[in-house]
Amino acid sequence: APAVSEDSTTPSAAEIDWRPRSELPGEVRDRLPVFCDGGYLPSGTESVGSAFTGPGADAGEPLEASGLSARYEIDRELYLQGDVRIRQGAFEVTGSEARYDQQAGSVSVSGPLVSRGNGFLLTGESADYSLESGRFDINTATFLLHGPEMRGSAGNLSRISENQVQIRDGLLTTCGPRQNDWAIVASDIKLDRAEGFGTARHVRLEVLDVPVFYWPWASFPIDDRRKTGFLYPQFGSSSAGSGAFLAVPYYLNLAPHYDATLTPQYIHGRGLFNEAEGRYLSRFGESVLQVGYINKDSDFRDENPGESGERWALDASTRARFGQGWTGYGDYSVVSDNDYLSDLNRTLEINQATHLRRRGGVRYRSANQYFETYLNDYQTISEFIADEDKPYAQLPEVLYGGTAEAGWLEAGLESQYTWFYRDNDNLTGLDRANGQRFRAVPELAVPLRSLWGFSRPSVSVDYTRYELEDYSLGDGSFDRTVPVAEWDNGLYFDRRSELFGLPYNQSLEPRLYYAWADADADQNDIPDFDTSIKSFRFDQLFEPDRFSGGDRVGDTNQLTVALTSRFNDLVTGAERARVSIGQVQYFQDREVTLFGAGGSTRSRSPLAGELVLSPLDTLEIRSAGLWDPDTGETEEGRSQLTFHSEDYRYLASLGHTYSKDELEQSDIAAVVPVSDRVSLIGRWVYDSDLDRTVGSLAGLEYNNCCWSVQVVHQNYLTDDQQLDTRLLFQIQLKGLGGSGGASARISEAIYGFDERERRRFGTP
Amino acid sequence: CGFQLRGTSPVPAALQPLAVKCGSQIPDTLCLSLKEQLELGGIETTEATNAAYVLDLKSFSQDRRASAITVRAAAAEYTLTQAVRIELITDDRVPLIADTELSVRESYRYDETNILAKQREQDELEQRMNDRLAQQILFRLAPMTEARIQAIREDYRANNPPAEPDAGQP
Amino acid sequence: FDMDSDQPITVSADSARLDDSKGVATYTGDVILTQGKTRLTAERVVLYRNDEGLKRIEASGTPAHYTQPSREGQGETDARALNITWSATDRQLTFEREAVIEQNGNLFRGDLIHYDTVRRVVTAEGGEDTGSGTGRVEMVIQPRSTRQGSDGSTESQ
Repeated sequence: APAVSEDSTTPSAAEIDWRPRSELPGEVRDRLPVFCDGGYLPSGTESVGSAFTGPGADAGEPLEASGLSARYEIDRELYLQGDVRIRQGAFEVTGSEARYDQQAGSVSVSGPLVSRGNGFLLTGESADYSLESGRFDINTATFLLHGPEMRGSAGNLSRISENQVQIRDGLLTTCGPRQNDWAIVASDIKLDRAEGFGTARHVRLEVLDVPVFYWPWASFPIDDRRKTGFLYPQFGSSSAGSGAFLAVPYYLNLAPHYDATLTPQYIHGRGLFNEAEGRYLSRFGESVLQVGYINKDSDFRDENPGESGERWALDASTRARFGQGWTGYGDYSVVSDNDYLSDLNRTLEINQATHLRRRGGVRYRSANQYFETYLNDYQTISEFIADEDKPYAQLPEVLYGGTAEAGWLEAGLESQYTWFYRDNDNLTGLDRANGQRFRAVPELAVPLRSLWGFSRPSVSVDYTRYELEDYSLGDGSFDRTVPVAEWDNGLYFDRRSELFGLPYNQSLEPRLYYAWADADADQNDIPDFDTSIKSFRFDQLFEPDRFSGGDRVGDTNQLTVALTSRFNDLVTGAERARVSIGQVQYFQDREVTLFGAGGSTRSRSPLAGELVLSPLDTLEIRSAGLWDPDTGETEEGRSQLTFHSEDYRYLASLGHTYSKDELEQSDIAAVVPVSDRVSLIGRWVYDSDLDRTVGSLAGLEYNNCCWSVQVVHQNYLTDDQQLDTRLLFQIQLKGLGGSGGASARISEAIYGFDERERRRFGTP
Repeated sequence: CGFQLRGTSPVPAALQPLAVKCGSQIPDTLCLSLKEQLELGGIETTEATNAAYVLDLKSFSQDRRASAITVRAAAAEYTLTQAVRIELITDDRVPLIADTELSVRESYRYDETNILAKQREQDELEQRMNDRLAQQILFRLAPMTEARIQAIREDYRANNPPAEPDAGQP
Repeated sequence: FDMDSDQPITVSADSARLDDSKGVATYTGDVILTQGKTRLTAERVVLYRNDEGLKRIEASGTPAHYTQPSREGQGETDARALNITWSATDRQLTFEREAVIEQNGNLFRGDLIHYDTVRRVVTAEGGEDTGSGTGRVEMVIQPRSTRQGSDGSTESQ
């Protein structure tokens, strides 16, 4: 139990400065989280950095002392008695008696004393302060750090030097006075302000004065420069055979430019699973390495007899900025088996990764040129992907693009060389093809621009050459040339007016886009390396090619007519609303297909529309779709509403995706506080075609002023079409170490949750 | 019905000379797209040393999450969100636009049996979203006419004691 | 004041009243009393003598003002109070009501201050709340570095 009993007659430091919410000054009350019923009066300029500065920092300042009576042997000793107050610079201490030995340069104060300084308050039974060394010792002390709202008590608290504070038999908590929900008790705590973190020995976490956790040694951050120390332990259970798990991440801030997080995790039914993440900041950029390893996963061994149970994963990523427009990047991830991620690294995302990407390359970009070369491959980790659908590796791909202005003429070139390769042992027909593809699209355009509009006629030639091996249709080297002509025209009209007292500018932007591409109809002798039909987006109305990738160039002769209207508020300039509608007129059938898909004989496209409303900075409604006026049916639809309250306590998002006879899913998520302390977290993803739930999240968060607990129950779909469940717990002790654990994952499932998390403990 | 052809440039000329400062996190494509749109709007960008106004792109984040899934839990649709934090300050440190976050969001259908093609689509979409984000930034510069800048400056002087003359760069 | 110093005490004032039989001299009106460089100025000063010499001085003024030059290593003393009393028997100066003593930057303020000039001890009481005083003793002590360095090393400020 703490050295000094809380209920001693003299009030502790925390009790002196604590005030219920109503008695707090305005700006402190505004910052006080809603679930706290009180807070601390500020003391001097609140900066944690100056905590415990004590008198030492102001050694040059005069010592002001006062009391009811005094006796001063000049140049030898001053003895004060009766309601003594000593102040030096910003440091002040009051007590019943004080003795200042001028020869030794030491002051000792006794009787119940109170000492206040910048951002801290101390009480104690006796204190000694040496003007020489600046060492300040206080016995049976209680203290309050206003910045982190951390209070505590100590058998002995001594400020050894400018940056070193030592606490013996200390107790530390961020709970209010009279609230012993949790406390860190340690025999010996050292705070080092120069290094920015503290270390403690024989540390016990006490809940309601009962020790529940013991660390022989622990380090923790005392300012936000360093975050070494325990992140929050996460525990929970999962129905997917792996049962309960407990993870205790430990963050090591090793140096200003590299740190590491070790996360030993015990999973019932599997064993000890270790994850480590290292981050290294070099002159060029940041690199992150993540490694996971379990040597005997018993559950996995039972499911797959013959397996040793050793499973591992590695994920490395690096970004580099070399200057003068050159950047480099690298991502490599690999797992030992397909179920590794779903068994050992489940996130709260609703989907399960099917591929892991690996790529590395360098890129150059300037105002009118770009160059990039990279290697790219994937590890397929889903056994439901047929071999012919497995992605090709690009070993390498080289891209070059450039534009040049010559008077009113603009010349441009986009070129791409790729070597496609994949293991084609058990593939047949065109799927066996590997090899090289070179594509160049030179373009000549006349970009006419003025304030009220633009017109951009352009002609280009899409030339592609293949040099293929294992090509089942004869000679593997052939090429394709497609001339393309485009003419993009737009006008801008403006009108100002006012709505609900808010001045706004409404624009009207008609746009005419003509595209002609003479591609030969049958390109199905070309294998599909990286091509598919582009999914619908409003911008596609103004693109000539309906295929993405390079293996098909769409034939077309079309005219797009579209109209966009924007409402920008004239105070901030923000686009409060945007409505667009457009339709394409086809003057000839589209015959090029990707093995039968992508052709059409329609003369008019369905009406394409896009609506984006953000009437408030905290609310956005977007909806886009394709609606066929002839059949009256919606072919494609995507809507999304996202909302958060000003203080991020309320979050809501509503999503709906529709593709005629292909997919219809809705996704509702919300975080709703039901009381000052309790909030409900929920998400529900429902598939109308399958008429079933494909993912859900139900969570509860209890907040009390100095700790919080989050419990989240997750239903997730697995690749065997079953819903598995998982339960995640997380307890957070305010002020100790970084966040992480379940709460970091919840932000993957609910928009705005990470910002809500950042603001939860009243951090600005 | 009150509409006339646009006669003013999207970004007021008062905001000259303007420097665009892109933090290390900012993708080059966004920074270049913004400079290009500024030039199209008739605003020449200069170096920070002799700029009267600095548009500072401070942080950038991109988030991709599945917004619809197949029956085998593979992603059927991804939603991409790009967000940038910007700040516009004068060379004597008067904030014209305080720290603001702008974001754009787009969705695209996914097909786990053709991920290379979908990667092409995502790369193209990211570039288009950079352009749209740059356009949103331009919209925020639109209100900065000479009168508005003056008003903000006076208002700032009123409730902030005149800072000692700051000779340093913004 | 130093009884056995052979320096004479000179007094000047607007008016004086001597009563040799009781050995009491009373000076009023802008009284200045000096002994060497020690000075005492007040509005009214009463000197008491006995056969061995000066026994007691009582000065009062608004305020009475006593200054003593610096001697062997301790700075000049400058003191003020509504009334100042010097008693030769215990060689003690007493300052009463609104008493302030300054000595090389150190400052003492209180309602009643005794200064033993031999043992160089100052004792001060706040006294009960006498209306004018705060009932407290206040002092300002300069950090050692600014005193004429008795220990030689001057710490950086």
